Amino acid sequence: MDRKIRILVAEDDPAFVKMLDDSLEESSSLYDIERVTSGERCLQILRREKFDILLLDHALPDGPGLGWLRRFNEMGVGIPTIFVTAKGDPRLAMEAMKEGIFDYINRSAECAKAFPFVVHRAVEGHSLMLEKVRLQKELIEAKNFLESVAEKAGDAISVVDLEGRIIYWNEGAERIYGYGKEEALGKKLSALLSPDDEKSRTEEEKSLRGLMVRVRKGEMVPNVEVKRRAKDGREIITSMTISPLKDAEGKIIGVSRICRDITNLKKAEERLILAERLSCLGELTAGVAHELRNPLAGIKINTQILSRKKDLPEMEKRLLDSTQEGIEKIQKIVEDMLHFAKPKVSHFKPEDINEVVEKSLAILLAKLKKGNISSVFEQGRELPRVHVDVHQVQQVLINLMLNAIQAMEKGGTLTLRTFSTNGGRVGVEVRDTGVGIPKPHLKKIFDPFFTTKSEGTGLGLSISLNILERHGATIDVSSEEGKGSTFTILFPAESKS
Amino acid sequence: MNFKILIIDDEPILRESLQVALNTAGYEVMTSRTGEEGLELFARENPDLVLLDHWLPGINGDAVLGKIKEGKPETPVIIMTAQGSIELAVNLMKMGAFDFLVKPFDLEQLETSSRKDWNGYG
Repeated sequence: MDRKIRILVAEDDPAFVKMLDDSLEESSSLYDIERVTSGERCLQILRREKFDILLLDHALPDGPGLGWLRRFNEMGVGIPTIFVTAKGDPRLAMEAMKEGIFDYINRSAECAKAFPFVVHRAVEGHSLMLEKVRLQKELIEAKNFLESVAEKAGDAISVVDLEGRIIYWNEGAERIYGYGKEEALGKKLSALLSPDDEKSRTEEEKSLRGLMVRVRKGEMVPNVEVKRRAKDGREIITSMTISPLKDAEGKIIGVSRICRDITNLKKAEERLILAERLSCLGELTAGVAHELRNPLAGIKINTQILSRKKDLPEMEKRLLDSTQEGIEKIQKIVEDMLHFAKPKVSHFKPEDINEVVEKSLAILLAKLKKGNISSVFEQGRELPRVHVDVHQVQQVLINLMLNAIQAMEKGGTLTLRTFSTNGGRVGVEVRDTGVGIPKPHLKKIFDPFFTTKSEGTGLGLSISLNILERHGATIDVSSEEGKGSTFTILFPAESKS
Repeated sequence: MNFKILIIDDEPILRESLQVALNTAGYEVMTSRTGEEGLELFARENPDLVLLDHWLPGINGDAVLGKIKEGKPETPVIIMTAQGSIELAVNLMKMGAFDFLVKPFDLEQLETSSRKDWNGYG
């Protein structure tokens, strides 16, 4: 302490006061002493001035010291107090300790001698206590701060203990994964979020296991791409930062994960890659198609010359027929390829999407009936108009419906639905109750020439995607094997102009 | 005198098949692989009709059509192309092409087209 220690002495025994004075004499420059002989007087001074230490006798003329001590504390003027008890009265000392005194001494010569030491111990103890209170407050504030930052962060933040059980789950995790705190806490993280299908689960678990080994050695692993499954079954791609959680001794007691949902980013990236690949492939396709058309033209004329011969033997006639059939097929493929590579010029106009869907459906009614497929059209009401080339969008819808019909060889229901989103986008959904698309195929169905059918060029969906991209529209697919597939087209919101 | 048709196309199968088809129909047919060769033949043989591929090695169909139209604008030229765009068809018609066939076309289409020709020019 860089100033004098102020001591208030409340003691009515002049002999003991004299002893105290003597003991402090040696280093009197350190102390500033005020003396009173009654509780009442002591209270008055305490209310007026600040002292570091109070020396309080257990029996003052105007009442017991303990009573006064209680009063001081109640009135909020209490300061670190050293209690003076009669010689050998441990019971009273105990009671005073309970009241919060810092120390006590006996009214004896030895104790008076040790008084400076007791004073210093009390001063030190008191400042330590203040420091402790301050640190506690700081700790609580820091904890609150971190908790609210972690809690409100846009990312999903979770902590698991060494057994892999969730011990922290923030609001971001609730939002991104769909599990509330009460559902998540105490559960195994892997059980909650691992992907559904066997293959990706094994893959994810394998790569995570490797990472966890590093984390448990104390390493932080930033931005790993990990597939997760939300409560509603949706697949989420996250960019995950995994760090060890350590206790005060630096021992690892758990693992924290900060996960950013990059599903949309990933999808956009995939779309971009696909678009680039399609455009490359488009050029290649156009070239191939042109090259094919030339010899094909010759072959076609050849077969037509031959087929005019009246006296062709039966076998030659059959061979010629199948050759011509083959030529027709090749020609159809070439047309598709060229259409894919170089789409027709678009004519955009504002259209009523319900009308467009209706017209497309009408074209396929006979086919639906023949395939024993019932159709439902759930029309959205008061939808904004969409700015589209009606023929191209019809082509897309018909393509999707034809695929749906082919997926429902044993009959089923084709459901078309139109709707608008809060953002003013207009959507069309084409849903079937067919065989569904195997998961490994889902990523490839928009790839040109990808097909599982014996008939068909595998260009239908990539042409559709191409067309929709020119409309600024997106298409997504979800499918479950054995249950059916749903394709969802979203047109951009019409600008108000 | 025989009706003479000049075929200019770099695809040997098509040259061959057109030649057979048109010979069978009673026409005199000559063929060439390139535009340069074709123009030479055109100058020498003075055909009544030209079947011209649009995409040729060396000078392309546009240029060949231009040269023919410069020298003998009355000779009909039917363009054959593997590239069936409307823009191309319109352009070539403006340049004086008589007709426009997208490969692979039917024998009948060819016949209709060449017959159209006789009526107009013959």
